[in-house]
Amino acid sequence: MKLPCWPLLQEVKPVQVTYQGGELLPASISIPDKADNSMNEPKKKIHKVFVEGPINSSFIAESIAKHSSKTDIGAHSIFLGQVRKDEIDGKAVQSIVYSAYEEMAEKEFHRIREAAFEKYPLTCMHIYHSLGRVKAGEVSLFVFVSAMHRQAVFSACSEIVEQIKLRVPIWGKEVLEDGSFIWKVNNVGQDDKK
Amino acid sequence: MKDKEQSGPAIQIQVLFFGALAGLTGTDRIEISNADDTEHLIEMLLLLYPSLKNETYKIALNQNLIHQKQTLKEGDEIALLAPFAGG
Repeated sequence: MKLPCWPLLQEVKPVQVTYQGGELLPASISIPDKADNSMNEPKKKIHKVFVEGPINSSFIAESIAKHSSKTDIGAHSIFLGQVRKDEIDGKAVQSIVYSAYEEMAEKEFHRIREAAFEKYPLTCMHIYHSLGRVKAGEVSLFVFVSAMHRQAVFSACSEIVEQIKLRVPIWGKEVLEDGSFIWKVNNVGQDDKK
Repeated sequence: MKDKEQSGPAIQIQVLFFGALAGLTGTDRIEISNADDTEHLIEMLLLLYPSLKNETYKIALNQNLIHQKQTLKEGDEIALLAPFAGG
């Protein structure tokens, strides 16, 4: 049974599922669970990607816990991007202030998400990215991919992170210890220059 | 019906600046009129902000990246995007 995850609405149970023909069926009616049935799956739930400030570890832990009821999952892969205390001209990075072209970013996240579901047999996927100030040592990107088996999640998670860095219009001001700042630039395809 | 405006009143294009470009122009949003296409619009922007010439940026038209000249119409939104730094 492949239903979308409901990451922010743990206690809310889907009451109705829109079936392919547009007919509404109660959730208790099971939809045939076949590997080649991907076209008939309900549309994946879209959730908000951006969060204000850092992504804290309790949020991450709760996200993991919410998947215990999805017992067809056999593998999760998680990427956490953490703000690194780089030294720039002898001055340490204290924080990164993130901003985004939100309307376009949401479109790009959606495309990345759809492409990953198309390419890999994933059960669910969650992406969260910070906006605003995130201090060195705090987490600003959380990518969480789940599937029946590990191969899909390893590949998908890595690809999703690369795509986010390459395609999503997000910017980060690296604020240095003396209060000055410089604009961070991603080094896509090389090392993870967070 | 909008076609009759072709040679009529000037069309208004919203131009957004993101990342380092907002710092460079000193604003995150301006309105430009009388730009027929994206190339023309960029020329006008370079006159307004000559230092844009030295910057690397991508251009989005209505939230989609464009790679060649596009005709502009009333209500279009152009965004100049500094190199991305998500993650």
